[in-house]
Amino acid sequence: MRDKTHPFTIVTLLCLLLAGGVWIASQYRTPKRPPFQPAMSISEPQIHKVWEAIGGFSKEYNHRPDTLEMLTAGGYLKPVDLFDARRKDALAIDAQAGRFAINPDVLYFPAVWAEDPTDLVLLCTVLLAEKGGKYHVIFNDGRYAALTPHELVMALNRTYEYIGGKVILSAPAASQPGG
Amino acid sequence: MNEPGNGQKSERSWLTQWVPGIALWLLIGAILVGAFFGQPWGRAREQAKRAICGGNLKSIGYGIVIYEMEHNDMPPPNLAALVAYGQPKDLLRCPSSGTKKSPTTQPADIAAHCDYIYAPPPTDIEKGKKLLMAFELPANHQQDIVNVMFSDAHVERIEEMDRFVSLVQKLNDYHAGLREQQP
Repeated sequence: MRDKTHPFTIVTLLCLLLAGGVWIASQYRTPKRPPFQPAMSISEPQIHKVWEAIGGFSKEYNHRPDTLEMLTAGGYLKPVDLFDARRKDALAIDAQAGRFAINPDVLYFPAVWAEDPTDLVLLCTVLLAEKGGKYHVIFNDGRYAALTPHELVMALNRTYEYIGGKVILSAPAASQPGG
Repeated sequence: MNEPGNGQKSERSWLTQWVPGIALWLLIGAILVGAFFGQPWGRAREQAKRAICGGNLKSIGYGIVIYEMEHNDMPPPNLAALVAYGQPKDLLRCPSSGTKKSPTTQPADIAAHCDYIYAPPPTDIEKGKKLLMAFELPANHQQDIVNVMFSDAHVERIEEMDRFVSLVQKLNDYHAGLREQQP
């Protein structure tokens, strides 16, 4: 017949179980990474409004605006439509520079022209207002998409490759000083 | 009277009873330390990943400079061209993003397994303009920081997201200006 189990072994096993429990609990308690930082970003209805304003501007001037500020200056869009609703102090345009004091919460690609391929990004957000959210994107043909980070990286790389091909790789003389 | 070998037996039984116990206690101690101080370790891991991400961008920058030197100062059209030129494809992944390794070096695969956004820099390298050449999405690092590379191949870690957005818009405006100049 076997000897009785040593009390030390029992205590050890119990402590092991306890430690295992603490460790498992800690995995839920302590995040592996720093917490997600929500950032300023415009919403889907806002980005649609920006697209409509660009359409209105293009109709009148036969080309797209150089900057988003031209839309607000021309009355096509209210400044609040270019900023996250949580912002209260970023809506003033610097009269001298003609730009907002800080950049609108949406990126605009003025180098993308209407006749360019439809899969180029014209407007997009690059910050997320909440964890797990998606990026709002308007493509060159006005199509809206909510993209994952990976999809946005691909779309932006495609856009910059096209623009780079147009303004840098195919026309080096244009970017030379005095060229 | 003790039997011969009893001393050795008791030494062995001491070993078998206490050494595993002590080892287990040490293990428990290590687990408890890990449990209570796990958060700083997790943060340290993330800090290391951020540093690797910045290093990846720096390596991409060096690769672009070498590419330009051998291609009449013309930058690569995309990052897949850089990989085809010899840049390791693993450098195109931020370790914090969880993007899978590209199975091949085919351009489509590289594009689908890349975490960095690359804009070909102007050939005159207007370094004073501080234009972005490559960057990532801030979500890779919980929007806490973002690593970016400028056209002179220097890498910066940006903590103010407003500044990051302004830098990207500045790049877009610069492209628009160049395009306007073209016939």
